[in-house]
Amino acid sequence: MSLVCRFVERSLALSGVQGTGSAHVAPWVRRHLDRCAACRRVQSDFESIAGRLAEALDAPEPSDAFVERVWAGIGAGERRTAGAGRGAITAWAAAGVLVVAAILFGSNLRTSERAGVTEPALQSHAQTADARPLGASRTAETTAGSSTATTARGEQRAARDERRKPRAEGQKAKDDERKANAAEKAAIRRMLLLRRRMAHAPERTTPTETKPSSATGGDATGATTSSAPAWADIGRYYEAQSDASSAAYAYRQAWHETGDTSAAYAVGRTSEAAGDILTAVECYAEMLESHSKASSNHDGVSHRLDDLSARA
Amino acid sequence: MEAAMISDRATVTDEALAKLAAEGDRAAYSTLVERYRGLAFATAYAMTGNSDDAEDIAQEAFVRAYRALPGFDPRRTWGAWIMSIVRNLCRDAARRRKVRSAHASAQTDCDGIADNGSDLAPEAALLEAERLGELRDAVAALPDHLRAPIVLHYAYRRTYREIAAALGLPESTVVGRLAAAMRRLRRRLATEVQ
Repeated sequence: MSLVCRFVERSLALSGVQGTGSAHVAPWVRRHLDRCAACRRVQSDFESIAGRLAEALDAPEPSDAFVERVWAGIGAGERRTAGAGRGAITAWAAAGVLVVAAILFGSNLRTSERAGVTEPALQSHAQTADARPLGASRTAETTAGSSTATTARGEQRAARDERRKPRAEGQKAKDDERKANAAEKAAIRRMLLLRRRMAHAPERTTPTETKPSSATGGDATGATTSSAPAWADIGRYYEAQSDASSAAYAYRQAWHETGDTSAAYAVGRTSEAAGDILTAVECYAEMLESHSKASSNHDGVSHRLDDLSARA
Repeated sequence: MEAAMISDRATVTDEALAKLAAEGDRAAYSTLVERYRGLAFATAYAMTGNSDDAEDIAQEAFVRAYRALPGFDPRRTWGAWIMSIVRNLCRDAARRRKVRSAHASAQTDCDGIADNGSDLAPEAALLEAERLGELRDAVAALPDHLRAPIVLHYAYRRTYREIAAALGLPESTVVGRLAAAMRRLRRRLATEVQ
């Protein structure tokens, strides 16, 4: 097929589609058709196809109940939407009950936490404080239970599942709080015990009296002679700057290098000032263990422990 | 009574009816459905090739349009909007399963054509039925964008303007696609004859 024939085919297809027919084809197409048999066959093919297409193709129509089915579909959608709305209302009601229960539970938990902080040394009070959340949780459970008892069974199940989550989280927080309180009480009890033992120690010296011992140690090991006082000086510097943590670190370095109990005492004192009571207790305990070798600082330790017990 | 109301609404524009329907006038929406159900069904059939799917798609389109009526912008053309919903549903259906079989599977019903063919002799009717079957197969083998205009124009006698509105195309594009479809049909049938 030549290039001209291709153009003629396109033109015939367009004119056939537009329904203009062979009488309305362009003059140059008509002239080409007069001398080209192939293109005349193309033209007849198009006319034949166009004439048979309507017969060949099915044209089904929508059913008579089309409009009714549309309205049925709309009605079904509206019922589903209404059902979803009722479900949402139920979920919101269950969430409201949970919020009330959580507020009641949280307020009682905060009360118990306050009691645990202000009365750590009084075991009986602490036990009372520990007992409060249990009662409060029972109250919350009773409140939530009485509220949900009035709802339907399915709503109760959903509310119960939702209620378990905050209750489990509250239980975990309560357990952590109990553990922290128990550790703090144990540390204070141990400190009081140490205080009693140190109060009955046979020799009592002030911390300053032990300083020459580091000089004695420095005589034996020249390498530590220069560094130990330096660490102690650094500790004193930080203590003067009210940086108790850094001072405790510096004193600990001095203690490890020289084994000086005055440094250990300083570590305990500064750790205590920094709020690290457990470290302070460890330092004092180590001082007591090494009491037989170098019984020193007991007065200072006793004073510190006295202060601690008085504050407690 | 409803028919009377619909006849009263015959001169009301689509957009005005859509506004009334959005305000809760069910009769107005029924009028809209009546106006466009034929074109919606024909478009769905032209795109899917299955009358059951076409019915479901057209009904679903009107259901979705009703739900979305509160958000319908009256400045838009209702017809273009509902037909765009129909086309999207057809594309979704085509993605779910390639529906090309219906046109092809509508094989020649020799008995039916023999019954319908009034003056033809049995041999001639059989030959004509075979030719029509070939033509059906050729149409079914067309790509979607060429088959839909052919079905809408030759089977449903829809105008270029209606086809353009149904398919969301300019009229010139519709004419061009029809011509391209005719050329493909002729080549395919010529190949089969050879």
